[in-house]
Amino acid sequence: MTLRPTVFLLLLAALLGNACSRQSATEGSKSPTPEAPVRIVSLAPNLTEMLFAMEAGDLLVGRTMFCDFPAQATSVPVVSGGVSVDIEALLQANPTTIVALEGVAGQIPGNILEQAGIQLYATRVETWDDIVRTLDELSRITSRQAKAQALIRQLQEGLEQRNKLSARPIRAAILYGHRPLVAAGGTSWGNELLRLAGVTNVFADSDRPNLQIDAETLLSRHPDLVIDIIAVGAAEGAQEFWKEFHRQVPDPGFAVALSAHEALLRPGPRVLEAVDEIHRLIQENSRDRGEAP
Amino acid sequence: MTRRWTGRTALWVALLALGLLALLALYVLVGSGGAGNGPLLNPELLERHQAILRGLRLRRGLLAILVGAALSVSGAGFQALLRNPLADPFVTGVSGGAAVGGTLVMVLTAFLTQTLGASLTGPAGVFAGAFVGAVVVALLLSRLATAGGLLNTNSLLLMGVVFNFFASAVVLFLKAIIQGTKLSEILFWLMGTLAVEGLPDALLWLAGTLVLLSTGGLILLARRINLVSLGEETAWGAGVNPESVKRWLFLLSSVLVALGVSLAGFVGFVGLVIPHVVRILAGSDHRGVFPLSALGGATFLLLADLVARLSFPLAGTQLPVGVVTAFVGGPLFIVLLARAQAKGGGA
Repeated sequence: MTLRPTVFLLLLAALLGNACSRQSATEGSKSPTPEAPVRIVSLAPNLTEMLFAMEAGDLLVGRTMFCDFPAQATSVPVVSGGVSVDIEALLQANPTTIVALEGVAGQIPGNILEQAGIQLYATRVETWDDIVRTLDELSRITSRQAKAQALIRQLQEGLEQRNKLSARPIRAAILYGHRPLVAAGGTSWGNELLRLAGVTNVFADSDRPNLQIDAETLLSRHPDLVIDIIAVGAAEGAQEFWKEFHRQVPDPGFAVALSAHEALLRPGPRVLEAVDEIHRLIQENSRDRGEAP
Repeated sequence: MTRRWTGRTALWVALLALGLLALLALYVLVGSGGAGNGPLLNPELLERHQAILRGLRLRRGLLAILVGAALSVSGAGFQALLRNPLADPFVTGVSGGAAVGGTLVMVLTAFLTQTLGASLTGPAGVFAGAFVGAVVVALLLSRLATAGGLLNTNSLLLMGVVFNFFASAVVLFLKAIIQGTKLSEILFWLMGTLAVEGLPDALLWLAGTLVLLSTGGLILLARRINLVSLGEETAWGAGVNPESVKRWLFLLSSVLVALGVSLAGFVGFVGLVIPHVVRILAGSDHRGVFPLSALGGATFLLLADLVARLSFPLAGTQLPVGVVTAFVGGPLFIVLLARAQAKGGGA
């Protein structure tokens, strides 16, 4: 019997479609259900920080190589490189629950989790509301509701206090890269941080997390301050970059502040530190220009 | 001695040169909004306006011209060397060497800054790493593809393709061990970017000089390349050593790819499409193909970058210029190929 190519392709498409729909069904069934004893693998540094902040660090049995805060986290075995997940290493940690950000969670095959009886908690953390929701949901997984609620209250009060400190309106841009220039868009953690610090993101109207821009686009938004987030120890290279930039555009109309503070990149329990860092950068810049902060 | 250019080639050179100048003027005058058009009349804004025109737009335009010319001429060079119309600057492994060199510098920068607090200079370091990587690979492949003093272009092509696979694996490995902002920097560089912010003038001058010298060298070599493309026996008969011609052709084309990738990452289709268009317009005499490819590549990339720069309000982000060249170059190449086939010949 001969099989026509069209029929073969249709059969193949049907099989693939079926496989995909089964995969989706498996993912849809994932929900955090607390079971004791809980053994957690965290696949995101900010989720690891949240677990430690609600004093659930002792439940961690696996982390990514980038989960390096607080210091105790580094004693937890590494099961993932951060970008790609090593399923075998992950299963060897014998977790009951995996907590991950949505992008990474999609890499883990649902059928394997189902067979191993592992719960997958996937979340998105890009705003303050996301932090509160995630802390709340993690607290139910770890049975640390009281600790988490206390932490949320403490963070909320801290943010309210800091809100009162903001004096004059500041327009700022956050940059994550130099060549090309990459700025924090309206749906980024950077945008949320600026909002929490009482600062206007000049790219808040963008519906993207990060956007590629050129210097001219940056100038057209008239920021007072450009916060350049750099890697630890990369200040010298960044200063070289801005020195050359100022040679190209002698009076860009904005000041530049460099920061390598990790909390600026991690939406999590160190949100107050991040807001303080933004205020510190603004104050330093105001002092340099002889203005009242 | 035969006449250097036919009337048609001379006409196209003049037209493209004028078109390039006109396009550069438009490129400098039109922007994403930072300069606007009013400030020319406002003395307070004039200084910043001039800085945007000269410091940003003109420099970026010149970078686009340099990279476009380099990639296009190297494409024409590799197509002549390999006698394969599908050859492009990224097929011989030289670009893979540049990718590994540039990415390695970025990763080392991150590693050194995190562990030792040391720092490699940004764009200049990446340029140097990519250029050295490309040249080392070019020399290595040239040595490996030589047997009994003869450069085997088939081996060169095969080794180049294989090396590119190896290079992509190395780049993937480097991307896997790096995180955060450095990762996105690598991705953006590999996608192709003509960002000039922070790029030292000395680097542009150096690259510009090398592009001019290499293109000039290929133009000087063009008559001999014509003879070699007719067959090596014909070349020997005319007193031309084809081995020497092939080596120079490979070396100069490799230097141009190294410069193009080092300055702007992977900007596709310029080196593939433009030489084809040039041959359709003005014939396959390399004395015309090289200068017209330089002008055509420069014009094409300048236009593509103008679109990329102006894409911000529509796309919400500035498109990488490599995306624009691929959107235009891909369909254009297929149309050219289809038309050539319909006429019963190759492009």
